Order: sequence, then C-alpha cells, then structure tokens
Amino acid sequence: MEFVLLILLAGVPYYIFLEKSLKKYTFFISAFLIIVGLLFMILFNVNCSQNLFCIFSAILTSLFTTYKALKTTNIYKLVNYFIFINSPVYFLFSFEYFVYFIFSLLVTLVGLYLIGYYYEKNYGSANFFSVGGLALKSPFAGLFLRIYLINLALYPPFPNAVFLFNSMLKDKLDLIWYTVIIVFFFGNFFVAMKILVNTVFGKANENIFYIDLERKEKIFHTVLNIVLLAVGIYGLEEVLK
Amino acid sequence: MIKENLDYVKGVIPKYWPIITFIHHNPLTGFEKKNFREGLKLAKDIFKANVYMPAEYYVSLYKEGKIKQHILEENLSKVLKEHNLVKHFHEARTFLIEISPRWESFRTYKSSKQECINRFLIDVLKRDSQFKDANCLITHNVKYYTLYEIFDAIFDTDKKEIIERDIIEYISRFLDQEQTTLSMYQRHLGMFNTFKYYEGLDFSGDAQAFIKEILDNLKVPQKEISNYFLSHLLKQAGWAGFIKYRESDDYYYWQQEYPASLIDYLAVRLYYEWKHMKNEKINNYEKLNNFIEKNREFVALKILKYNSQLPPKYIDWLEEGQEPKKILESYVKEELELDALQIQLAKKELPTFEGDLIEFAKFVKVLKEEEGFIWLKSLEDSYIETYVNEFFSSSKAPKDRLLASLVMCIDVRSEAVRRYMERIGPYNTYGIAGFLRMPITFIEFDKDHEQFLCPAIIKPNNVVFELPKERHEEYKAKKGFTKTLKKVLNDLKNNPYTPFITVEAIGWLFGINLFGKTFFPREVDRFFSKFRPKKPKTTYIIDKLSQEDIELFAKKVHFKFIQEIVSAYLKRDLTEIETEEIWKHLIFGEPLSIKVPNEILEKLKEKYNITKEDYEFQKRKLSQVGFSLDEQVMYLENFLKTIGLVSDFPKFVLIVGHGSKSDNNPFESALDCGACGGNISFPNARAMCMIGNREEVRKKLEERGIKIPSDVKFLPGLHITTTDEIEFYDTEILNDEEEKLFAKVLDDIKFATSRSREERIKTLPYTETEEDIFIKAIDWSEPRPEWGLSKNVAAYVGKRESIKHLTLHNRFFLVSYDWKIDDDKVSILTALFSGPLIVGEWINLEHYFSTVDNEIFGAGSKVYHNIVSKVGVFYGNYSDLKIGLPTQTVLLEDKPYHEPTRLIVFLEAPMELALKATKASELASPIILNEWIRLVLIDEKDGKIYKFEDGEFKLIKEIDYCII
Repeated sequence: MEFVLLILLAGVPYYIFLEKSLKKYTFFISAFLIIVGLLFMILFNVNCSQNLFCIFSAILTSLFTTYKALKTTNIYKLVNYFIFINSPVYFLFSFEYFVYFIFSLLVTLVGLYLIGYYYEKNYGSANFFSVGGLALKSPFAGLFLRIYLINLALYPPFPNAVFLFNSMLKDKLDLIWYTVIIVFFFGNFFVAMKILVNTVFGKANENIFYIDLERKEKIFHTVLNIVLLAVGIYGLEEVLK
Repeated sequence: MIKENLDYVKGVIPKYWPIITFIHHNPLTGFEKKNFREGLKLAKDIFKANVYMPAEYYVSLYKEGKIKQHILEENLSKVLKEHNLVKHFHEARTFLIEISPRWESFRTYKSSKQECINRFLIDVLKRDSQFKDANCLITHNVKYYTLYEIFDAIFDTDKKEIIERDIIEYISRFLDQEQTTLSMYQRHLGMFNTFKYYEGLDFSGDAQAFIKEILDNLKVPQKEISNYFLSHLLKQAGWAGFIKYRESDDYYYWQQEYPASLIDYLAVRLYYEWKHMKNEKINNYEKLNNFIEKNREFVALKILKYNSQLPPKYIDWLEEGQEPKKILESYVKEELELDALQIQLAKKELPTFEGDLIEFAKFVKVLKEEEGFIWLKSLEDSYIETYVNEFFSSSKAPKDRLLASLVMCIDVRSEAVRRYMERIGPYNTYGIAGFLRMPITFIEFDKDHEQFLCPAIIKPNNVVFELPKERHEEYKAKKGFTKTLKKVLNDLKNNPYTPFITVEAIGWLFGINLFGKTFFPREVDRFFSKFRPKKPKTTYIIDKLSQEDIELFAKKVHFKFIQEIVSAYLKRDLTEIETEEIWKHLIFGEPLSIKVPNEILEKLKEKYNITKEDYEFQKRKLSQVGFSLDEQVMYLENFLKTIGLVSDFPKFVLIVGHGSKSDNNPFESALDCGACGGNISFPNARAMCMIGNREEVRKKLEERGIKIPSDVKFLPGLHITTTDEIEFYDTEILNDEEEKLFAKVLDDIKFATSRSREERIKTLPYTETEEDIFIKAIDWSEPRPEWGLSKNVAAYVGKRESIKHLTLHNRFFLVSYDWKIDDDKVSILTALFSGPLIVGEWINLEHYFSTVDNEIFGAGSKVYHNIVSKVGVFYGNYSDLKIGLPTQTVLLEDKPYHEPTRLIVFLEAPMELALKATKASELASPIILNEWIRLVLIDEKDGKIYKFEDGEFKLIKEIDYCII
C-alpha cells in the first residue's frame, strides 16, 4: 500500500505520462492523484511516517521538482511542481494536518492556476517570463498572486506555514524531519520567490498591454482568499491550543 | 586609434558631478549640437528611454485647459504639412486626443481572434520593419550590446551580472573619497595602473595598448570599435559620467591624487569582459558570427526573449524544444497581425478618414513619432501665449526713495518672497544669479577644502578666506570635543573587536537620538543645538596680500615641515636661520652648512613636496587671495549694472544668498544654489556687500558714473529655502538710527516669508501648518523637505516692473536686466547668456528628463539609495551611479508634479542686441539656435514680441501698452 501511495503522492504518473504533453488540465489530474492518495490513507489507514524508503523517495522527488521548477517560467507547470515539491510532507505529516495542509495547498494552487489562466487569456500564454511589474500595472492580479506566493513560500501566518509549524510542534522532530523541512521549505521558498521577483515586481514590459483581472475573476479570487483566511485562523487557533 | 574612437562617442555620456556639490545638468548635453527634436529622437534610440511624457499625460493637460486647442491645432497642422497629410487634419486631432492614449489597447490577443486582418497591410508593415528576416531582427535588437550580453541572451547565463558587479566593485573602491576606512592600495598610480596591481596583471603597456589587445582577442571589427566603446559606456552611464567629469576637472582634488580616465575605465571593463569570456566556446565576434550564421532563428528568438519582447507563448515553445524556424515564423506572423490589427481598429474609430489602410498606417506612423513633440510644443506655446498677454502693467517705479532693495538669486524659490516684499512696503527687488557675476573660491573658517562658488562652467580666479574676528575658545573646545567623540566612535565602530561591545554598552544612547528625532524632532534639534559649536563672528579677506605676505605664507608651510622632520632627526629644535638655510638649499639649491643626511632631504622633497615648483605653486595660489581695488570696483560695477541698479539707491541694499537645510538627505546640495555649483551662495553676497560698503570702491565707481550715496548700506543675508527664513549678517555696521529703520525691514521680511510659507503649504504633501515646514527641515525621515526647483517653467530676463503684478507661483527664474544700461558689445546680456541661462537650462532639462524617464535619466526613489564612495548614490549593494533627480523631487504619488517643458526664456531686449549676444556667447548659441530653450523676445523698442522657432524670430504679438 505504501508503494501505491508513493506512486500517487510523489508524482510518478506525472513525470512519466503527463509532463511531456502538459495540458491546461494536467493540474487537476495531479490534484486528483493527491486526493486519491489521501483517500487511500483514510480507507486503508496507512501511515508512512516511519517508512524511510517512501520518505527518501519523496525527498528526491521534491529536490528534482525544485530543480525543474527553477528552470521553467510557465505557471501551469509550476502549479504541478508545487504539488510535488511538497511530496515529503504528505508522508511525514500526521493525518489531521496532512488533510488541512493539502486543502490549503490545493486552494492556493487553484488560485495560482487561475492567475495562469489570466496570463494565458491576456498575454497569450501562462508563461510569466516577459510579464514584469504586475504589481504596478495590474494591481489586483499582482495582489492576489502575491498572497498565493507568500502562502506557498511558507510565510507565517499564512495557512501552509501554520500547518507546517503545527505539525512540527506536535510531532517528535528527528533527523528525517529536519531534512524534509530543509528540502521542502527551501524548495517552496525559492520557487515562489522566483515568480514573485520576476513577475509581480520588476520593471513593467513596455511591449505588453497590461490588463487587470475582470470583476468576476476578482470575486472568485476574493472567495479563495477568504477560504485561505478561514483555514489560517483555524490553524492559528490550533497552534495557540 | 583607441583614443580617437573613444572621443568620437564619449559626448553621448553626460558628465556627473559629485553629489556633495550636485550640479544640475542636461543629461543630453552631448546632443545639443542637434536640433532639440532630432536630438531627442537620437537619444531615445541610444538610451532606449522615453523622451516625452505619454500621450495620456498631455491629453489630461489639454482637458484641464493648460494646452490650448488653437495652439495644438496650429502645431499639428505644421507637422502634418511637413508630411503632406494636411487633408487628414481633423482625424489627426481626434487621433491625438482620443485614440492615442488608448493606442496599446487596440493591440491585444483577445481582439486578434475576433478581427479579420488585412493581408496587404501586413505585407506593407513587414517591408518597413525589423521583421523582414531573422538577420534584421538580430541587428535591430543587439544595437549597443556587448559580447557578454549577447552570450547571456543566447545561452541563458549570468555573465552580465558577474562582470558588472566586478567592475563596480573595482571602480567604487578606486573612486572612493574616504567613505571606507580601508582604502585601496597604490591608488596614486592611476586607475589602470592600480588595476594591474589589483588583478595581478603582468602587462607593461598603457591602457590604450591593453584595450587594443583585448579588442583583438574579442575580434571586434575595426569599424565597430567606437560603437563597441559606446555600448560599454552605456552599461554604467552614471559611473562613466562621473569619471568623465573627473577627467575634465584638473582642479578636482581626488583626480589630482588618484587620476582616472575613461580610457582606464574602458580598459577595466574590457578586461573583465575578456576574463569571464575567454574560457567560453564562443569568446569572440568571429565565433559568435559563425554561430549566428548557423542558428539564425534560434539566436533571434533568444535575443527577443532576453529583451522581453518575445510573448510568453513562444517562450513556452522554446522551452519545449520546438523548431526555432517555425517559432520565429509564427512570432513574426502574429506580431505583424497585431500591428495590423492595431491600425485596423484605430481606423474603425476614425470613419471619416479618407484613404485606405496603407495610407492610414503611414498617417499613424507619423503621428506616433511626432505626437510627443507636438504636445510638448503646444504646452510651451500655451504658456507663452498666456504669459505674454499678462506681462506689462501700468505700474511705475515709485518716486520716493525706497527703504530697501532686496537682491536675491534668480532661483524660482525667491519669487514669492520678492512678490510679498514688493507689495507690503517701500521696497523693490532684483534677481541675479547667486554668484553675483563674481566667481570666487571660498575657504570657510575651520574648513580645509575649497568651494567654487560659481556655475560649474566657470573657474574662479579669486580666493576668499573666512577668518574669525573674535576669540573663539568655546567654539574650539566644543569642536575639539565633538571631533574627539566622533573619532572615538569611529574607531570603536571600525575596529574588528569592538563594535559588539560598543553596541552593547552605549548603543541605547543612539536610541535617544533615534526616537527623539522621529517623535519630537523640534525639541531634540533644540536640545542638540546647545552642544553644537557656534561659529564665532568672522570676516573675509577681501584685499590682495602684499608680495611680502605671499612669500612669507608660502614659506611658512615649508618651514613647518622642515622643523618637524629635521628636528626629530637632530633631536633638537632648529633655529629660524637654520630652517631658512635648509629651505633655501631645497628650493634654490644653495649650499648647506648644517649636516643633514641626504635621505632626510629627499624625504622633504618627495614626501612633503618642498620643491621650487611647489613654492611657485603656493605663491600663485596665495596671489589669488582677495581682490585688487580695480577688481573690486569691476565686480561691484558688473553686479549693479547687471541688475540695473545704477541710480536712485535705497537706504539698504540687501544681497541675499540662499541654501537649504535638511536631514539625512544625500541630495541636499541639489537644493542649494545652482549658480554657485551646488553650494550656499551666502559668501558671494557677503563679499559683495563688504566691497560695496568700501569708501575707496565707491569713489572709484563714481568715476565710472555710478554714484552710491554715502548713507547706503549693503547688508548680506541668507535665505534658507526649506523654511523660508532670511537671516542678515554684519548688521553691526549700522548706527542706531539705521538699526531702527532696519528693524522695520526685518519685520516686513518676516511677514513676506511667512506668506511665502503659507503658499508652499498648499503644494507640499502632509503639510498643514508653518510648523510642519520647519519640521521638514530637521526630519530625518522626510524624503521631500521642499519641492526645490520642481515645476520651473520659464525665466524672465528684464525689468521687474513688467511682471511684478503677476503671481508666478515660484515657477519663474527672475533675472533682472535693463538693456538700456548694456554697452555696445552687449556684454551684460552675453554674460547672462553664458552663465545664468546655461544654469537655468541645465536645471530645467535635468527636471525635464528626470520626469519623462526617471529610471534612465533620474535617480529613482530615495528609499532604496545608498551612498557610494561619497560621490553619489546607487541602489542596494551595487548598481550604476544614479544620476539625475530622485522621484521624490519630480513626482507626487507616482504622478508627475513637475511639468516637463523646455525653459521658456522671456527676454526684454531689442532684437539686434539679442542676436549680438547669441552670436557672442559660444555656450548659449547652440542651445538657443537648436531650441533646447524657447526664446521669446520682447522688443519694447519696436513694440513687438517674437518667439524663436525654426531658425527665425516669428512675430507673435504687438505690444498694446509700451512701457517706454
């Protein structure tokens, strides 16, 4: 059962089948795999936190994914990569926090995915390489993107960071934990910061006509942010308990 | 060959003066030989900068009524006529006002899917564009690129980052002016020779030979060398500009000590380029060209990506490894379609346009190229029309004797004070460039450096020393204490072992200052002012030194060193006669009867510079101290004639210099007097007053036709522009009766300055009361202590009576000039053209370009600035030296506060005099003739007003009311 989980949560199908023919909807397949993995854990009551092989493989996946993520500037690809940068966490977190973390991560990634869609619609592709200075030129898109990235970069008190710290406080920390934290913390941080620096900040591109989010997009992102806020507050309460 | 190539291009780079004496300058000085319009086109291409404001800015001014409709139409017609497009006048007007501000919105992917695009139009657009083929795209996009930049673009490397960091690291350390405590070793050898030590280079030749060798290695084609130099200089134009300034100023202390030149700088740049490129497979232009030949489409795409021109979709395709040829074809097709779509959609909004799409495309091209100039000129012409209709009133000069004449700098910030003074009492005012046409080198009391108090284009011949005229033990004691305290703190800070302990032990003390200055700035300033040493009363050396004095002082410095060194060796004090004997031996080679080892004598010659050359140099410098009587008379006469005060002298002539006051502001000197080279202009005012009060000077002046009554008193003042306070000095020369009269003047000045502050409150953000203005001057977190010269728009050169009824909102340089006093050679007007006019143009265009493109020509936000090498500011740890003005000076909440226009110079003078002065002034001639300023001539004699345009004076108005 651990092996099945490893396949699902460490992105094996993604790298074998999906990466090369990446489509817009690939993210949903990857997210689906994670949710299936989660259900497997519930149904079969699997705990991999002591399975060194699984954890070591997940760390390798995380490192490899971070490397791949630093090489691309396509938001659709990055959304998938963010799922697998966090692989070791799925195996190590206690079940309760795993559920919350996955929920918060997927909500954030849906937000990021929609920002990718916004890029594609207005600038021809979800690639942010030449779309700099979003904060100045498209302030709403810049603001929402900033929130998602800060959450992904594990800045407290955003929910991802809160659940990570909760889990750290609850569990007994050992060498594996430290290794995992270093790998996935820096992985998330560097990739998120790379996006932030290149597209949210920086100089606006004069060759591009910037368009901000439409009203319905703003509403949808606001809803996602409210959800994240609620999850974050819940997580903070947990910490304080 | 190297030097010639460099000389050919270095004019493009503007000089940058050290920030301690910030000199406002036109960043496009090198283009002034060209007409303004053409110069800007060229500069736009070279600097890749905006040279006009965006269309929406001008449209908003048009809607506000600042740009007048009939003027816009007139200027538009003129441009259309040049291009044979007059028949489309109405469409062109609609295009400028309604379509152009939305121009980019017609070019979206969304609309490209909905519109059917005209194929023929695409073909036409392709013919004239960079999209013709891959070669064209590459050539167009790598103009002014270095080899390492092209390499970075193709292979996604970070060479530029590494190379530029290395270069800045070296030059900022070499050019350091005692910011660091660990200076670079052997700097006196010069920039390139020191560099050889720094990098351990085994190269015996000079910088030129070195550059040649590297150019050979890089295989830069012969005909491309000058362009390649320009590409390098443009990479760090700020640093290059500073080195260019240093190279040109022989008097600059740091240049004398540690010489640097652009040739040396280029050698350093090219060295790093070669160092980081030599191990790469493609390390010269030959190999690069071969690579491009084989991978043309791939290179074109990578360069487009590097320039952020490649749309995201194609970056994805590149990442996916699709065939470059197909990607490029698709990209070119889409770009041309979008260009065509933009034109098609715009044409739809102009249904009345008679002509096909191709004609419309040409029409749009012309308008997009010329709209910036059309709008700018229309804005300037609107101001010209508004003001020429408002000049002249029937106000006449008062018949009664005036109590005081206030002579202030032409600086725009004096306008409000002058206006209020004139309105409240028996006063009149004059404007003259702060150096008062008397360039001086000033050496302040207790300071050991010189200040050149005159425009940067002039070098002074007279030195003025400030000396104490009362005992100053308390000053010395406080100064000594402060100095010692600073030294101890610095030592503790810079010692590797002590900083931690220091912070632990006394760090909290700094907290008092920190929180105090933040929350109670006025109180804290008052408290600390008690500890600041108060300068004693001083006087200036105005008279020339006698020949004996000169020789005595010149010897004195040498004597001091001889006594110190030789006494230490002999272990006894030297007598005066012995010292003189050694000195004569060293200077004149006379025989020496005392036994002093050769090494000591050599040390005195080499290290302490006790040589005949130095003796002559000291004598020459000392002979510049003070003024001869004739010079004093000449300067006073020039001053009085320039402002037109040659009769009807008031009781007091108050000459007011100006400076600014702010805390934690590296740009403070930018707020000081521009006509005094970014210094406070008070010393000129004081020296002139001392000269003006002299009996013998007045006697001689009378012989020249200017009689100053004996009861007239000249008094110097200092205007602090940040707080609008004016303080007067040397008032002890007044008798009791005069003191009473002067008290009335002071009251009125107090009133005028208070009104001026009230006016300024309305324009300064976060300022509600006068108290807020005073706080701004001492608030260390205030990025905008005053607006400075922002919003300057024009200069009025003429009689004050013509405009004194106008409220000019601190936007005019007010230059007093009465052409009837000028001589046959028009020497006064020529001097005004060669000094104040140039300074005004520099200030104006510095503001202009800092507003239109702050990133390229300005200094960016003060918030990110760090002081580097004590010569300027840069961003973060390393970046180009930031030239120009910070955003806080020209923008307010990201919108322009300064209105960028060329300086409109209204000159009251007959045409023949203006022509004569233009011809006589080598400096002003190109900027007038090439229209870098807008000259409006008010010819009272003929009763006509002209503006200079397209190489001729055009009549714009006949004067209804003639003052004559």
